[in-house]
This record gives sequence, structure tokens and C-alpha cells, in this order.
Amino acid sequence: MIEKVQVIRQELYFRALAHLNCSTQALFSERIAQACHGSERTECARTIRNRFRLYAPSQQRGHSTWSRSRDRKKLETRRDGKSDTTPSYTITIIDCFDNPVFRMLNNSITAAVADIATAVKRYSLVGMLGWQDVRQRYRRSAVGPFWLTISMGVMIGTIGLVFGQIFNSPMKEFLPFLAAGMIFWSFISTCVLEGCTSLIAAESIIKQLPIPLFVHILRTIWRNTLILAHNIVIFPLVLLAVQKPLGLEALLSIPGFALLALNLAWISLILSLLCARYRDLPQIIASVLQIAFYLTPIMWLPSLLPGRAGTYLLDLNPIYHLVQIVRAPLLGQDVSTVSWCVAGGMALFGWCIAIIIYGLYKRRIAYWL
Amino acid sequence: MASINVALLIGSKKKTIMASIEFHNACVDFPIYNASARSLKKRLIQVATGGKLSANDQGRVIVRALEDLTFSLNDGDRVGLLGHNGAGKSTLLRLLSGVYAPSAGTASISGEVASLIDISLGIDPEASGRENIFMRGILLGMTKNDIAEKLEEIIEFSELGDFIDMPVRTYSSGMHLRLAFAVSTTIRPEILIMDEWLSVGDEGFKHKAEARMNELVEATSILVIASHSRDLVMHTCNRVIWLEHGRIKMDADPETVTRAYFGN
Repeated sequence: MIEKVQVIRQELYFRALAHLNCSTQALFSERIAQACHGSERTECARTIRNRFRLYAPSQQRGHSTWSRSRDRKKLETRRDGKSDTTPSYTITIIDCFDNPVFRMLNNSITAAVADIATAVKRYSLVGMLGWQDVRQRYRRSAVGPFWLTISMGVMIGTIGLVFGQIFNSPMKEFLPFLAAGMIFWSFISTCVLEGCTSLIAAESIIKQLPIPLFVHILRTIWRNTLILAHNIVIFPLVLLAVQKPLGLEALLSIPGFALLALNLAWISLILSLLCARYRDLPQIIASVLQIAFYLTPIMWLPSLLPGRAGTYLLDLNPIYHLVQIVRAPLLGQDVSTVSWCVAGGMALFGWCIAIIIYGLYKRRIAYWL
Repeated sequence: MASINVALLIGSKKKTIMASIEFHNACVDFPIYNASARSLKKRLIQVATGGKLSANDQGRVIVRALEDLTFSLNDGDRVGLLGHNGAGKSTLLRLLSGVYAPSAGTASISGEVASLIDISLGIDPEASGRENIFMRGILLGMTKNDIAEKLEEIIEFSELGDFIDMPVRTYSSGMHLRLAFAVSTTIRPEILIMDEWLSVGDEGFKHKAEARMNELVEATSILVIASHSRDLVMHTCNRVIWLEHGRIKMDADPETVTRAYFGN
């Protein structure tokens, strides 16, 4: 009997795995009926029921209506057709580690990692698409993306003058702080905002060519990195204007930037997926980013905060840490260990979540577009 | 069939890897999200009120585009897909190219797939022809070196001459297609997916294009082509699948199926 249970269990794994979405699990009750006879049959069904949660059709859940009704039809015809006393069980989701759900999770993680790895391997495609986006701004325009730089420069100058006066901050300290903050904030916010629509925007490619979807996320980040490279030009000019030297420690902002990009990649990945499904999310994200902009010390110096508020707005604000790891080295300040740890922890934790979500829903994305 | 196989052995360098496609009860369901069901608000309210908005599956309409497709394709198969508009041909092509994953059942595809459904995809009208060759090529999975190697050949084939360094927006639609065609047919995939036979240009060019297409098809292991043309199916394919309402109505040799589909 036990062997029979073993055999059925094996098949059960296989089929549940293959048809997880399709829910043809009614097959199993049939299989039990085939393999066992008489009292053994009920025994066998019970053993399996105890080990894997089996639900009667009425309790069945988590599947689409279509397959549900099809299964039900099957079961009903079985009941009508034969005077079969075996209860017809269908399997929904089976628990414990050694089970299809775990395997599905495992499979989806493998799928997600494989997709991301292929996307990274096709860096030439990412590079080309990103360049093409930037180049499109250059075409038939005398200064191209430098328009963004110019407008940002003007904005930094204006805000610097006004807020410098309001806060009564010394220009030598405030202006470089503001410039670096604004440049990196615009990188972060456009990455997140464009990340939201990266899959929606690539709909025509996604529906035509089997290119790993992560390519489109990387493309957004790469494009914005190129634009950042334009904007960063402002920073040395500001330093020159206020006569502030740039130390060697500024090089630390390179690993800081890598960590920031790593964080933005997982945020964009999750958001792009959610936004493909729920189309009004980008608007919400835009408002949230606006609030985050005011809460994070970009326009105001953190030293101006009174003690208690500082704990809330600085230490508990993950965006502050993300900005800090790239901005502080450029201003000749030390990056606190807390900032490095928060940014690193966020990257690690965020990527784990992102990989799981991406693996689970990757298959559905093309259907949502 | 035999002649095609011989041609395959000579023409393809990737013969070591066998391409195959295996479908088992594959279904494709499209969830139709109307504007309101797609919003997060509605979803949240739905959760908050604790019930489904309507009895039939969260008020979601599902369109079943393909239903229970079971078939397998192997090396040397040249498959024609026949069916009326809306029978699911394009959806099946997308499923074959790996764009869609089946919403139920399994579809395993082994081999490098290329889909030439829309050859103009990825062409930037503001970029020059030369830049576009690279863009389109990389999009199709070629490497920069591959393209650089074949660049001259592509330019020569497209007969664009000096126009190759002009922005594509200055091209006529015929020239545009020639360029797209010339790049798209340089790939040598194991599995080739096409929607109708690619045919571009004026009379003279058509013959060249025809020869090039044949060369491409001979180099691939599996060809799947959706078509409405009887002649094409009879000439190119050695197997025809007739789809109707998302199901396989007939899967046999071209002779039998075309007779049933087109009538005599």
C-alpha cells in the first residue's frame, strides 16, 4: 500500500507541477481509483489526504473559474456515471517543503535568476537601446540632453540663492551640497518613475521578441546613468564657483553609485511589474517621490534640523542613506557605517523579494500588456 | 521531405543541436482588464469589502485564445498554420516564440528561436540606415562583430547605396522594407517563426528576396509560418495545422489539410 502511495505521490508532484495553473488534479482521484481496490482505496485516499491537503471540490480555491468548472464537470460526470464510493478529491495547494509549492517557488527563482543573468549577458543590447534613447534627444537639437543639464543648473542656481538666504547657510557649504543632492535626486526619481513604465513602454518589443524582460529595466537605468553623466558636469563648475577643492575621497562615491544603482534596479523591477498590472500606480509613485523629496535633506542642510527630528528624517529615512553614499564623498564628508549598512541591506533584502516576485509573475507580464 | 533534409544537412552548421517543440495541453487565456478593474483602488476596495464584485471570478473576463494544443515539432518540420482571422494563429506564433507562456499546460521549446513577425520592429526613423542595421541586428540576437562582418553584404543586398548613411525617415516605404528585410534575413536561427511569407520590393528585388528567404528557411531546423495562401503552404510546408477557435481542427500533410480548408 505504502509503495502505491509513494508512486501516486510521485505522479502527483509531477502533474501538480506541470498543471499548477490548470488544476487538472481531478486526475489523481482517478489515479487512486485505478491503482487501489476496495478498502485499500479509501485507505490510500486518506493517507494521501493526510499528507497533502486534499480538498473536496466545493472547498477548492485559488484557480480560475474556467478550470474549476471543468474539473467540477469531470467530477460530476464521474459521480453520476458510476456508483463509485470513493470520495473524489481534488488537490489544490499542497504544503510542507518537499512539495510542488516549494518546487514552484524554487523553479520561479531559477527562472528569474536565469532571466536576469541572460539580460546582463546581453549588455550590448542594453547599451545600444539606452544609447539610442539618449541619442534620440540629440537629434536635430543643438545641445540635446544638455538642455536637461542647463535647466538643472539654472534651478540649482536659483534654489541655492533663495534658500541659501532663507536658511542663512554659507554658500561655500550649501551650493555644492544642493548641486550634488539635486543631480543624484533627479537620477533616483527618474529611474524610479521611468522604471514604473519601462515594461509598458517596451510593449511592442515584449510582444514580438523573446528578449529577457529585465533588459528593459537595465535599459532605463543605463539611459539615466548616461543622463546623469551629462548633469554631473554642473558639480565641478559649482565647486569652482565657490572655490571648494575636491579630495581623493570623492572616489568613494563610485562604489556608492554602484550600490545605489543596484538598489534602483530591484525597485524598478518590482514597480515595473506592478505598474504593468495596475496602470494608475505610476501616479501614486510620482506623488510619493514628491513627498520623499521634501523629507530628504536635498534642499535643506541636515545640520539645520533640531535633534529629535533628525533621528526621524535622517536615520529612519532609507532614501537619505541612498543619497548619502554617493553625495557625502563628493562633499569631502565621511559616509557613516550606518548608511553603507542600510544601503547594502536594502539591496540584499530587496533583491531577494524582487527575484521571488519576478519569478512568480514573469510569465504573466506579456498577458498584462 | 528527403530533399529538404539533405539541404538541411548541407546548409545548417548547427546540426549538432536538435531543435524541438513539444506542446502538451497548452492553453492561452487572456484576462481582459477593463479600465476600472485594472485600477488598484478597485482592488483595494474589493479586499476591504471582503467580497468579490461579481460571482463570476472577480468580474474578470477571460478570453480563451488557444485551447488544449498538443503537438510536437521536430527537426525538418516546415509547418504551415491555416485558419480564419481570430483562429489563434498569431497567438500560437507568440507562444512558439516564447513571448507568451501558456496559462495552462506546458510548452517546451528547445532551440534558438527567431521571430520575424514584424521585421520593422526596432527601426528608428531618425537614425541612419547603417545604425539601424546594428540596432535591428542586436535586437534579433546577433553580436556586434557578427553584424560588422555581414554589414557590407547587407548594404549590398538592400541596394540602398549612399542612402545607407541617411536617416531612415528619408527613405521611401519600399526602401525601408528592403533594409528591414536585408537585416532580418541574415540571422540563422534553429526555429524560425513567421507571419506570412516575407516579400518586399519591386519585381527585380522580389526574385532576390525570394532566393534569400529560401536560403534562410533551408538553414533552419523548424519553420512555422502562418498563412492564408494555398500555394505558399503547398510549396513550403510539409505539415499543416489548421486552427479553428483556438483548437486544432486538423493536423496533417499539406495536401489533405488544404483540400479540407480551401475546398478541392
